[in-house]
Amino acid sequence: MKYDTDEIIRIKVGRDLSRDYKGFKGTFAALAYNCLHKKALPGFCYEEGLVVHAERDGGTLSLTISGGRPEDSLIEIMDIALSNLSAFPVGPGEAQFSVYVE
Amino acid sequence: MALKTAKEYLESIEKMVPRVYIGGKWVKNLLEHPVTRSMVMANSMIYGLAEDPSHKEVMVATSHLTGEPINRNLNVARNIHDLDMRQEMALLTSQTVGTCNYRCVGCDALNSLASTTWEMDQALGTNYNERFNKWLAYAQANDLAVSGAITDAKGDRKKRPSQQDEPDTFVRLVEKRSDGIVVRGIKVSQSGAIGSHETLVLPGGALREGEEAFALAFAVQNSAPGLTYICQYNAYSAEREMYPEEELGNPIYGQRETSTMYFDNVFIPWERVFHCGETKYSGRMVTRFAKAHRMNCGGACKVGFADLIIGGALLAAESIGVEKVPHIQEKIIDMLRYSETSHACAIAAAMRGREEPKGSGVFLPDDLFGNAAKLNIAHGFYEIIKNAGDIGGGLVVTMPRQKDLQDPDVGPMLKKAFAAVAPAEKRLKIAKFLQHWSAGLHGPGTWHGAGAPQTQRFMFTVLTDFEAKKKMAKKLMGLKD
Repeated sequence: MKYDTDEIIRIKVGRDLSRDYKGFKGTFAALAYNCLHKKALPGFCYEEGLVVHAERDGGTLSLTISGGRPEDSLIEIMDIALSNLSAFPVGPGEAQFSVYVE
Repeated sequence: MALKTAKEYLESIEKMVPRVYIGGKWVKNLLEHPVTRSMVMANSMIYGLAEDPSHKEVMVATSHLTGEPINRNLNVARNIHDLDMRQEMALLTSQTVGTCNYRCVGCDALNSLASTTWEMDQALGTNYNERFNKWLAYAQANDLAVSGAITDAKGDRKKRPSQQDEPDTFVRLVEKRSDGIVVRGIKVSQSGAIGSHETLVLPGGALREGEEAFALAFAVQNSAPGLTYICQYNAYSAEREMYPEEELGNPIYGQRETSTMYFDNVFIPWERVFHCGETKYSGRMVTRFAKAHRMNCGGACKVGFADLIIGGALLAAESIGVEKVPHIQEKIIDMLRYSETSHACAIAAAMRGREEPKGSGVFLPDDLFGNAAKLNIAHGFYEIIKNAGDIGGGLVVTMPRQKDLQDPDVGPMLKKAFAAVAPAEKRLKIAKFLQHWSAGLHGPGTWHGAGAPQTQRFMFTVLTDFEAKKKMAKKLMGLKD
């Protein structure tokens, strides 16, 4: 039997950087809750103040990360956060959720 | 990917950053701290066993959800053979790492959930079983290390969970949202949660109407924001921090490592929630977990430990030339008697296992034999480590450090002092191994793991038909009433 277990989340940084992640259903909800209510990213428990601002509009989450970091550093941070939610990179596909990071 | 290799598990754990505190320090990389590393290395060995073709029947099962090969630690038992292989896995893993299979509690928790969520759905029309099966299919497909958290901090034992002065002594629901729940509270004595990808959290005991907030079961990711692990710390932790690994009693895999898990308003998406408020089913969930765990923990895991201790005691006897002395042989036989009778109880619990509840397709071990396995080994293990200390001699606790043998001033004298049939180096290595078992944490660990013996004694009174026994005795005596 094939179980419908996954959700695809697209991480977008700036204009050009984009990466898709596949996680178990509810992964986006967990990411959004932690960014909105705890101002925290999974995997960064030792770095307080990393999430400066978070806003959710349906299936879209907009995040501002502290420190004026370059785009490749931002995608690296999100890669760690998604890994800590057991969501892993996949090839480009149809994403149900989007996260804009700046 | 349905089966992770040991290497892939280590790579996945290296990326995870849970909030872990041990002995006054925050640990940012589990593989860099010697104590947390020992736990992770033990888990990696469990993955490694599934790679070994000679252990395939024990370590690899077929998913009833997808038909794919999966690690048996993520398998739901669907027949007697599954139960038998489950207890054999507990034996093999203990023999191999000499500490916890840190995926073991998670395995028994998921079997309880498979059974109880099915029952809840039948009776209440909920969709917990479907949710659980989806989560399990995902865990199997990614071969996740899943630990289990059952025991609440509990506070004042005279009071119910909702009456506690400190409400955090029990994990409870604090907010129900459209996309999930928020939980807080404390679970204690959680083996290997730090190095697992996820932990299955179950209620700590039976609950009553009015205690719905505590009737919770869910899967939480190990680095969920708000979740903190405070690791156990003891003389063996300090020793591991101070000494090189090769000088320790269990060099790579260490003592059993547990932590206190503090949930500080942790968000759990609904897709990971398998029980929320149905108090009638909380007790069944715990009982079914205990039923599985007593067979495995009592009748197989500790038997694997006993095999290692008996091996160490035999080597100690040989190292001083007493292996043929009758009272030494008698003590070895006594050690075997305790361990093999417990293993026999585990095999009996598996063989007498049955589908529970009927129609669920989930097989659980026989309760009475599982409890017998655990109760027998709880007492027997102390006898086993007593005999190991006896055969190993005072050296088990009076020995110098292995490194002292290399000291230019005292080394030559120590080598003379401790050389017997075997050289001093070998004798100290064996003595340190026996110290790890007989003067370490495993006595109380075995006593309390899977529930203290008082719970098994209680189960004996519940499960035994005393009237039937009286009736058969009276019949034979010819007593009318």
